[in-house]
Amino acid sequence: MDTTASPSLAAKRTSPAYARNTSVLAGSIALLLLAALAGLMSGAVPISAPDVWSALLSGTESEARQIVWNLRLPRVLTAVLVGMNLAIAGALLQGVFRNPLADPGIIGVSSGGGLAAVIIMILFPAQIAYLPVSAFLGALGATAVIYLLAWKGGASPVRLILAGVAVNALLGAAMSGLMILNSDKVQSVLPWLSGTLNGRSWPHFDTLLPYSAVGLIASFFLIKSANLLVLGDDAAKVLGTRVETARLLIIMTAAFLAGSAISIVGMVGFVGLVVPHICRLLAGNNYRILLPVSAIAGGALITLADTAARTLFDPLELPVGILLALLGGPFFLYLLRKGVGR
Amino acid sequence: MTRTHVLETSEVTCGYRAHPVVRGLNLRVEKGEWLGIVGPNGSGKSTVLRMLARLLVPQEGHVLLDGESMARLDTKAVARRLTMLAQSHDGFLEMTVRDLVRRGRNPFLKWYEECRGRHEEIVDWALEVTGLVDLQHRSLLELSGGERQRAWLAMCVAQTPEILLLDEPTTYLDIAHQLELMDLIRRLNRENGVTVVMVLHDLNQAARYCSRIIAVKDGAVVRDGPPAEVFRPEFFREVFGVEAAIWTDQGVPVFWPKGLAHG
Repeated sequence: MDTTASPSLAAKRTSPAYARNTSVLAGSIALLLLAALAGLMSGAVPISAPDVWSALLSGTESEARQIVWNLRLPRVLTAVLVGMNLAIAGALLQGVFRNPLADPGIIGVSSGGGLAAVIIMILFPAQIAYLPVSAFLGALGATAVIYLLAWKGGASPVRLILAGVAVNALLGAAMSGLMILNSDKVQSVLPWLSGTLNGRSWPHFDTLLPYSAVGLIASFFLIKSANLLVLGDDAAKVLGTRVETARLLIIMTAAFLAGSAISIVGMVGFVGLVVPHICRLLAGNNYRILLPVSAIAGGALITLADTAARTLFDPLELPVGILLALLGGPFFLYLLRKGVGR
Repeated sequence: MTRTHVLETSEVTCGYRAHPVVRGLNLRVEKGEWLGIVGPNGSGKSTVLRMLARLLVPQEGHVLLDGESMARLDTKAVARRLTMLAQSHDGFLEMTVRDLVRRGRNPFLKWYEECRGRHEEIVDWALEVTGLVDLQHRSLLELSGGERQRAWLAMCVAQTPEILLLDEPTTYLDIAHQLELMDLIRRLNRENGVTVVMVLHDLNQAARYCSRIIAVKDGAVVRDGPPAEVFRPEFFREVFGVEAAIWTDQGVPVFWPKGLAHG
C-alpha cells in the first residue's frame, strides 16, 4: 500500500498541547518538591529552609537534624509513596473501566482492606503487628472475589463495577456491624478509617518502598495497554490487544499499589479518584504523560494535606483523609467548572 | 493453486447457546472486492461481521484468514492485516484526533516502541487521506459526528489494513457526510487495493458502491451476487417483506419501496 504523505505535513505534527504537557510535568515536579519542603519545615518546631537543607546534608547532630531526619522526612516520604500508589491505581482503573467514578474503592481494595484491619483492631488487638499484612491481603482478596464474580466468558467493565458495588456493600456492612457491636473499641479505629500518617516513620517507609517500586515499574509496562483499553474493548481488540489479559494485569497492579498504600496508612480516599481527573484535565488522556503526572501530583497532594493536617490545629492532629477532601474537593470543582482542557 | 479469497467462514455457528444467530454459514471474501452485507434487523449480519473481525468466536466452524484459522493466529498479527470500524464509539473519549490515529500503528510497534519516524509518516498519510490534517490537534469531543467517525476511520487507515470491515458506518451521518465517507472508502478500495466488507442498511448505497452483495436472513446467506443481479422484486419481497419498484441509474440499480408486501 502506498502510504506516502505530503512532505509538508511533518511540520504540523507537533501539537500545541506538547508545550502544555511539558509544563504540566515540570509544574507537578515543582509542586512535589515544594510540598516536601513545606512538610519538612513546618510542625511544632518550625525549621527554616536553610536549616532543613543543612540538617539533611550535614552529619552533625542537632535538634533540627533529629526532627527532620527521624520524624518529618520518613513521614513525608511515606506520604509521597502513598499518594503515588493511590493516584496511579486510580488513573489505571479509570482507563480500564472507562468510568469517571472508578477509583481503588471500586475493586474492593478499601472495603476488603478495611474489614481485615477492623477485624484485627477490634477482635485481635494483640495481633496489631499483623495489621498491614492483613489489610493488604484483605484488599487483594476482595479484588479477586470481585473479579471472579464478574467473570462470565470475560470480565466486562460494567459487570466488574456491579460486582464491585455488591461486594463493597457486603464488606462495608460487615465492617459497620463489627464496629457497632464493639462500639467501646471504635475510637482507636476511626483515624485508620479516614487514613492517617500519624506516627508513620522509617519502618513504614521501608515496608512500603518495595511494593511501590514494583507497582510503579509494572504500571509503566501497562501504559500501552491502558492507552488502548480507553478506546473501548472492541477497538482495543481490533488493534491487536488481548483485552482480558490486559485488563486483569491492570486491575492486579492497581490492587497491589492501592492495597499496599492502604495497609500502611488506612483508608485514604479521594486521591485515587480525583488526582487522575485533575491530571487528565491538565495533561490529556495519554497515559505516557498522565501516569507520571498523576503519580507526582498524588504524592504532592498527600504531602501537602498531611502537613496541613498536623499543623493547622496543633497540637491536635486531623487524619489526612479529612484534609484531602477539604483541600482537593473545592479545587477539583473549580477545575471542573472552569473546564480546563476542553 | 492460487487462492483468490482472503477471508472465509466454514460452517460457522455463532450466537447464544440456545438460539444461534448464525447457523452453518459459509462465506468467502475475495481479494480486492467490496462486499456489502445486507439483511433485515436481527438477521445476523452484524454477528457475521463481528466474527470476521474475531470480536466474536464461533461456537462451531472456523473463520479463516488466508486459509489459516483466525483463532490460532496471534491477534496482533491479525491486526496488521485486518481492522474494523464500528457503528458508533464512546462519545466521551477525551483525546486529540492525532493521538487516536496514532493508536492505529499499535499492531506494528513492539511493546517498548513509540509511534515515531516511519510510523508518524503513515499517521500523516492517514490524516491526509481522510482530510483531517487541520483537525489533528483538536479533541474528539469538539468534533461533529461526521468528523468523529472520520477520525475513527483514519485510525483504521493508519493500520494500513488489507481488509477493512465496517459495521453500518454511515448510520449517524447526514447524506453529504455519508457520501463523503463512502467515497473515501471507495478510494481505499480502488487505489490502495483494500478489501472492504461492509454491513449496510441503505440498500441503494449498497448497490451504488459494493461490487458484490450478500443478503443474510435468519443467519444464513439467501442471496449472493453483483447488485444488478440481486436487486429483483422477489428479493425485496422475500428478504425484507416489501414491494419495490426498481430502475437503473447509470448502470446502478435503484429501488423505491412501495409498501409492505402482503401474504
